[in-house]
Amino acid sequence: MRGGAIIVAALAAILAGGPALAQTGVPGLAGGPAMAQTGALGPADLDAGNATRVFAEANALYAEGRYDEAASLYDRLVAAGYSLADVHYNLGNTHYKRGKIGRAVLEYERALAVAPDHDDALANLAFVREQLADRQAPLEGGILGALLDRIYARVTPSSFAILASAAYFALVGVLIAAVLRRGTAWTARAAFVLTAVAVLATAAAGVKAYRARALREAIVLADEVAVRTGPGDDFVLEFRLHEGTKVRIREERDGWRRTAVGGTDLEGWVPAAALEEIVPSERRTP
Amino acid sequence: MRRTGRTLAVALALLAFVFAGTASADDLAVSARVDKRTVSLNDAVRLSIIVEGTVRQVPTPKLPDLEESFSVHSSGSSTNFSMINGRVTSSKTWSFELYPKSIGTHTIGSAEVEFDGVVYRTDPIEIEVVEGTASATPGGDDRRRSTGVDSEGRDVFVTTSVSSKTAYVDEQITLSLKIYRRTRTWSDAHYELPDFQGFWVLDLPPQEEYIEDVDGISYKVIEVKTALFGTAAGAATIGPAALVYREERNPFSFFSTGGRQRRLMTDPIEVEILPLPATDRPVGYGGAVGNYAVRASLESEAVRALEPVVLTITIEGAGNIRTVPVPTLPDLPEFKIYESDSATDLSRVQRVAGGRKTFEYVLVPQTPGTRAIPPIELTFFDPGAGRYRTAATPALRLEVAEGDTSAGEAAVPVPTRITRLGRDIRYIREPREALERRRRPVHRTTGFLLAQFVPLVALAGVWIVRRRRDLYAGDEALARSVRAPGKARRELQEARSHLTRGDGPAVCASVARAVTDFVGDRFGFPARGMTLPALADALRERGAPEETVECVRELLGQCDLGRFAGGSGAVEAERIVASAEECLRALERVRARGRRRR
Repeated sequence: MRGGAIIVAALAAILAGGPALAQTGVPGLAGGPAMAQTGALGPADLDAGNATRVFAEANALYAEGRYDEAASLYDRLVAAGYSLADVHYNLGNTHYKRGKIGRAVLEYERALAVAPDHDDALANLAFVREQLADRQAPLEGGILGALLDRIYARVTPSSFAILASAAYFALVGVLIAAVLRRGTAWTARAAFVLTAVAVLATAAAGVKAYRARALREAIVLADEVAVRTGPGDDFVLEFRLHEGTKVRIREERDGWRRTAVGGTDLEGWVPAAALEEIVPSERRTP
Repeated sequence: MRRTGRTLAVALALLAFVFAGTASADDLAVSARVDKRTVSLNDAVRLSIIVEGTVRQVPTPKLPDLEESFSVHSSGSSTNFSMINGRVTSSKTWSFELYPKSIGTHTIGSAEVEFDGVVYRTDPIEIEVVEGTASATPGGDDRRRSTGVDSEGRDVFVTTSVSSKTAYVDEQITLSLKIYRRTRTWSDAHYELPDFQGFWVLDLPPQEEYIEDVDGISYKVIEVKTALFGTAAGAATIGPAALVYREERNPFSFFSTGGRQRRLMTDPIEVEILPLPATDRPVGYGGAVGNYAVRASLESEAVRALEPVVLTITIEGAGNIRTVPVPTLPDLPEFKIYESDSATDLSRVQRVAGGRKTFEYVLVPQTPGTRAIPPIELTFFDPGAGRYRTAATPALRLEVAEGDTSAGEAAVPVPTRITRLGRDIRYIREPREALERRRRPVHRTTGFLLAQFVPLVALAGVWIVRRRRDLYAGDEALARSVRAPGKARRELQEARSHLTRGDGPAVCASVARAVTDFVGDRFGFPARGMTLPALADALRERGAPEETVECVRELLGQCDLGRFAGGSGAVEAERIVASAEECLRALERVRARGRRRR
């Protein structure tokens, strides 16, 4: 009976995690202007049929090499709420062809924020990064760590939540069987494993959703930007960043942003206009 | 440079492998040449290292260390084969541009080639580096120039200019950034090149330094040039360039306000990038822009059938060499063709971007005979002429003799590794289905959240059922009491079905069972085995009012009469069923009163 109480408590914890996760929200997955909800932020003149035609038209312009016109159509789709991974991906390609390598990186990152397993976006992002002036070292953590990071990066909070839910349903099934036929050693072991899976998946989904909301990442769009020790031109120049480099935004003040370069201890202030956030803060779900 | 070298080394290794059995050295010569012996500080010496001999594979020379005296830029290599009276002579020339770093006499040391254990060396060459362009304008000071720039009397200023404000896509625009100063009182100076979004960029080293007269004032000028290639048609803006420096304090002025950091910006420049003409665009045009020549050479003019021979196609000229596509080979059904390698060399001759792309194919003739390789064509857009042009190689001839049958399959080359000839981003994605706005993710939908409560409800229900089952298992009387109303309903239902069939005795039997069992189960005594008077007494003892007792007694009496005397007609049977329902309701009220009283 005590074991049953523990499992029921675990179920309660999992259930409590569900609504909390929903409240947390995931930019790019939960919506936001770049990843907008239905009609909330874009012109309403693009219904699904028109949007599909605009997308096809933009692709045709791309194929003809009319990249500026293609880009404006893809932008229109994003503004109308069609913030889909393929739209961002094609927009990234268009920027690359226009020589706007920073914007290309930005749009590939946005595609991956929507669909972390978008293999074309992953391939093109890797290709474009080879051409960037700044080399960003991968995070340390060994082969296993790198593998886990890769898996973690490619799974959405939704997938974690569904995994947690499936484990929870299976756990309840095992408990029902135990109630009807009296518990056995097998049902106890299965209940323990399923509880562990459900709790871990819920935690992973929660952490990922929190990180997606709390982490503000941006791409350098300026060709080169000086990073200074304070928010102003009079502060000491610390280092320079170049177009396409991914940074984290820590703070904003007077048109300047305090940024940190991942995988290093470098951080400093840059003019806000030199960067653009992958998921802008005003587009995040509260 | 390193990449090109590696590619070259791989190509050489591949060819060496293919011809490992046939390479032999009769004699080899290596020499070095320069285009001038006297050079100014801002000019370049062109150094050529030539290795030639009656070998099929020319070894690569090792350069002397020049970094101390010169800034070295590779400008590629070229290969020539000739066959005279059956003797194959190969020569390969490696070219470099050397920019001197200081004035004085510098020595270009010996380049070395090692072949078959013998080291061949070139003679050292002395280069005299002078200030100004001595060789070009003897006696004149070419570093002093005049200008149309308005200085406005400033100590330091910076300008940008372009060679042309209109250019085709992928046509070179040369951007010139000039930094003027007439004071030495600065430090920590550096320039920031403009925003080149919309352009491919190629730097054009080295930066030039000279003196220029502006408004009668002599300025020291540093000039940095950059080649830009517009990537898409339309208006494009070259952003402002910047010069950042720190003013040094004047040590003789007590009130000096120096020491501040200064930032000077240039004006942005608008340029118009023209699209390539759509009319007259040849079929098969692959995107090359520039002015190119195409050469093709066979490594040998005579081979045996099934022996490999290398076809080298070289595309060279001025323009954005990156735009040159892989050439399309003509149809060669008599050959098996293996792509071998490719290399790209960039050049900046006279500040004009250009270069060379080399593609190598291993051809294996399958049958003997005289084989012709038709001209290989490259179509490019020549921005200077404003039209599309096609360059082609002359047709090549190859004599293929009868193959060595004893060699058999061994003569067929080992398949070469798959070589990547070019890289680009993956293509855009096409819509697989109609576009839909992004939906709320599954885990944030109301349905998903509500569904999480379903298993808990099910679990609670199962648990309650289980608890009740356990309870009834230990108290048979309670179980019977709880089940009594349902059992009575079922019996009455059966009685009604007998009623529809007109079976009066069966109706009476069902009603008697329903009432007797209900009384026994609900009030907890064995009613089935009791006589009517005993049953009536038992009910009275349990608090049943007299009219209820009478109702039960009369009903059971009528049922006995109907069952055993056959006196129950259809109307009577219907009345018995109605009466039974009334009796059961009365009995239930009695039981409820008794429970409340307890």
